[in-house]
Amino acid sequence: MTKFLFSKITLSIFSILLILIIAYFNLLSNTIQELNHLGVDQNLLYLVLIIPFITLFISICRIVIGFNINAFHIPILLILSSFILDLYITIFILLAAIISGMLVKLYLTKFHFHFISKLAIILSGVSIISIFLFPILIKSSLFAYSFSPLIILYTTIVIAIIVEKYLNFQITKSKIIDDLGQIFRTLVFCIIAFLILGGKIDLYFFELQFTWLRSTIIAYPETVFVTLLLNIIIGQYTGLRLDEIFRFRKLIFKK
Amino acid sequence: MFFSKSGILGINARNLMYLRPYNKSKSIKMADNKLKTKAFLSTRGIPVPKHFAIINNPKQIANLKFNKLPNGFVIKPNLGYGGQGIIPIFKRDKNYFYGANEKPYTTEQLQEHIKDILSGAYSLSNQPDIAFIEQLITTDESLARFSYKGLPDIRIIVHNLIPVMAMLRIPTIESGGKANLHQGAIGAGIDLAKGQITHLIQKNKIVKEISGYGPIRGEKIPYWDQILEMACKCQLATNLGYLGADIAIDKHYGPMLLEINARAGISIQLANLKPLRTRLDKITDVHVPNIQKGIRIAKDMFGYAIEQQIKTVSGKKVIGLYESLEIFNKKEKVQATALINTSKKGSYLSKELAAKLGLIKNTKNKITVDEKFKLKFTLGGKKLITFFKIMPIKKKKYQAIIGNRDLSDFFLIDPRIIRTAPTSNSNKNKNLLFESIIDPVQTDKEIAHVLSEIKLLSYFRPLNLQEELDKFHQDNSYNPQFIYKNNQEELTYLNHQINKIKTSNDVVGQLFQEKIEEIKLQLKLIESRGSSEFKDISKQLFGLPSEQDYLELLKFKKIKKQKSETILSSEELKDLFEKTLKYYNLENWKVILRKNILSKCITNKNRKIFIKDACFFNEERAKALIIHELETHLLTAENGQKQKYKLFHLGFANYLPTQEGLAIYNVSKSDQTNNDDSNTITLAKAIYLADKYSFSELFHQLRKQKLTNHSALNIALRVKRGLSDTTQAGAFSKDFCYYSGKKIIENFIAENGQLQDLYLGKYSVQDLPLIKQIASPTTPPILPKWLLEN
Repeated sequence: MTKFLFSKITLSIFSILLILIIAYFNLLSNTIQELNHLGVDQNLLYLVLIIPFITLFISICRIVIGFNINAFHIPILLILSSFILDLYITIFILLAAIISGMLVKLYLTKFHFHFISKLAIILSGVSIISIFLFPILIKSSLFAYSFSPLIILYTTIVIAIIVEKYLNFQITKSKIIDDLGQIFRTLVFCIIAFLILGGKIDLYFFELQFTWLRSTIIAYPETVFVTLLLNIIIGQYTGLRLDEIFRFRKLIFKK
Repeated sequence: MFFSKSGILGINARNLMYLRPYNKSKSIKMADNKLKTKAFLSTRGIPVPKHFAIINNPKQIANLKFNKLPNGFVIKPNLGYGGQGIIPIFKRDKNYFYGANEKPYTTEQLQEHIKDILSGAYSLSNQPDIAFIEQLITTDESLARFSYKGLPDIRIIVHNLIPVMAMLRIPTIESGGKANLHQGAIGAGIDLAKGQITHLIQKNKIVKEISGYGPIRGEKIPYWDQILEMACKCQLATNLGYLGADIAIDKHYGPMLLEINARAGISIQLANLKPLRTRLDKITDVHVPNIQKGIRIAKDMFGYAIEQQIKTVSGKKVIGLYESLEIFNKKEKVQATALINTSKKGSYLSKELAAKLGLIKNTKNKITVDEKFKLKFTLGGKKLITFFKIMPIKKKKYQAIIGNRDLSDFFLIDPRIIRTAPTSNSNKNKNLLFESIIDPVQTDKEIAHVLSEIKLLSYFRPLNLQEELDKFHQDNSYNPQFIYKNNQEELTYLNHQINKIKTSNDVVGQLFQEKIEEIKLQLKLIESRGSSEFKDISKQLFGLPSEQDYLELLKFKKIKKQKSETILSSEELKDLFEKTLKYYNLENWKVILRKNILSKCITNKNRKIFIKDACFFNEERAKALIIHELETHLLTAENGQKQKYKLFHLGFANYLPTQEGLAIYNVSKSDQTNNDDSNTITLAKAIYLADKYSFSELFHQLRKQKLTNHSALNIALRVKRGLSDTTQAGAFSKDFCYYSGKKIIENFIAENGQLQDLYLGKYSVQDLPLIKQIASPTTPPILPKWLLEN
């Protein structure tokens, strides 16, 4: 009996049933409408609703495609900050944090400190450097359209997490190349996910935006449950990843 | 699902189908903890590198004494992954420790590195860690030949107690000496059945050869069965269902476990060009009762043994469509790729190859179709002679065609096999980078080292000698049962040492090879103590008196001597010895009186002569001793010291009969009635009898020959050493060398041999022509006075 209760099929059936019930009674839509009435910004609710989608994209990316990116908090943070701040500002912050952190780290390799103290100094250094970033950000009018004091706090948190995630590595050539590669891949992923989820990219001549998924999610919040189902399916995937098909092509297509 | 029919194990399938169900988190935790794994597995009989120090906290760093560490060691983080944070130190001088690529480290830098390890810079998710310092593994020569600097290791994946797939990771120039496939190290697939290298990959691409070395396909990995067994044992002990064992081969200690891996990667499939999932699927349900069975299954199911089988059934060699040839002209051999073409009758060469071999002068000249060249060549290990014609059309892929006429007798063709000749570039580099030219002085040194470790007679001293003798004294019909010390470990080590010595192809190499064979046989003799093989090996090594010899021996009669009246005490003999030594300017030898020795007089290799204290010698005996020990053994040893090779001093193969024969001959020449002779004859007789009779029967036979109780027992013991159950017939025939040597020298003299020639060092008469070629000085520096007088 316990075997049956914990089998994959049971899990799938239960989740489908649950989703059907919730969808039937429009529980989610009703709650969101209620929140709207209470004065919560719809855009903010949208940010919460897209997190399941981002996680789904990440798992597809890693499990089906084999595109090695950081899971989960860095891409979520970067995509959300692209929605809140702007894509360009996010990229700027990311690069600024990494470059400044790396400089501090490179300088510190000459000294003999405990590893934790080193990390502490790097983080402090980066957060101090970030203070000098804000005037640039504000004056360059990038912040202008949605500036609020909370955003500075948010930016600092983003910087701190990025630095801690990326800059505790050892300064060796291969390790830096590996990690920069991963940062780059994560960035590419974030931009694509950002676009799919209805983000706007200003390409100078025209604006790039796909609003289909965005409007669907806003109109039918229950679509979020689809991600749950897909996650269950992907969670049992034992086939080859796309990159593995490429890697083992000689073995696969030899006949 | 997606491409899963191809049978390839992807990361997803590995995680869900093998890691999750088979690897319990407790076991994974242990595999991640290197120190724990090492301690756990070494107590279960798996060899692991020793560790010299474990550093748990920063306080211990200051207390760590780098001076007390050996010259080579490795610093490792306990919870490290992917080879990060490991610093190997290969050598050091006063100020620096030298790591990979000769990178110098100061003590402070190493301490700093350990500090980093402790604070978690190299551990998974940066948790605080432990650092440890470990023995540096020096790679076995067989693998070191083609690896660039670093440590090559063998990864074996084991599932359900069956080794599923294996790969050798070879550090290259591109990878900077690291055995990491991502960084450009070469992964070589290994045939599980034979331990031979099959395919090579580098950066996910198939390569044919190691750049700078050449192809290594077909190279055998030493200790293969032992390695497989180790990997299986690891799984049995750790309970990891899907396990990757990393094993390196040490020069001195053989295979050693580096670490075990609970999340073994999947690129091993590329190196083997075989899918893993199909193999795993096949064996998941198999019931494997023990490790041996598991290895048997792996070899039968996953080995490429078919080729071998066809060969044994048909007696023919299996070759491929393209084969590498070695063609010989008068001076050198040239390698080329040949197309095996059964539709052609005869064999052909390309113009370029013919020019290379010096058969034609200019490739542009037209060549008449009928011109034929008779050449020797090897194909698939077979030597053949055939007539080659010149190929009409130039081909890129091959330089020769082997036709039906040369193929039909010896070969079967498997069109899947392609073996091409190495490109000429790689051959050039080969000499520069990897190939070590065999230095005879080094070989000599290595042999001398092994010799210094073998004290042959010490292995044949029974542990229970006294007890068994007591039993024999009570009842003279009792046959002693001897027990010997178990030296298995030591023997394995010595065997390994001797097997790895390489010799050159010249005269010196030939002499060394003979010596190596002799040492191998000696080791085999030691190993066979107490077994039925013992007497056969002893016979092979030292010889046995034949029936005819025995009849001759019986003819000898003891001549009653007129004992001279002068009796010398031990001290007086010592003075006499010292005088003689002074005469030959050998004052660096010391004469020492000692009580507890068996023989009356012994010389050892450290320039010391021991005389039994409180003994008396008549004058003839003293003279004989001087001739035997000083003027023969000691002079040859001294002369040997002055030669280039140590073996002149330590003795070439089979030197003993010649040495002893020479000594006996010298003694008998000076005095016809000497005791030496009768001893020799008694011993030879005893050996003949020991080969026919049991211990007690031998004793009684010797008693019949008018020997005293005491000396009969002594001789019986001497020739029955090495046997366990002395009811059996069989003899330890080392002492036969006295008699056989005497005959050898007599023959040598009869054939007008010069005694001076035997004084260059210690070697056998048979080797004399070769010895003369390599000896320098070519004449013995010191000769006994009576030889000089002649």
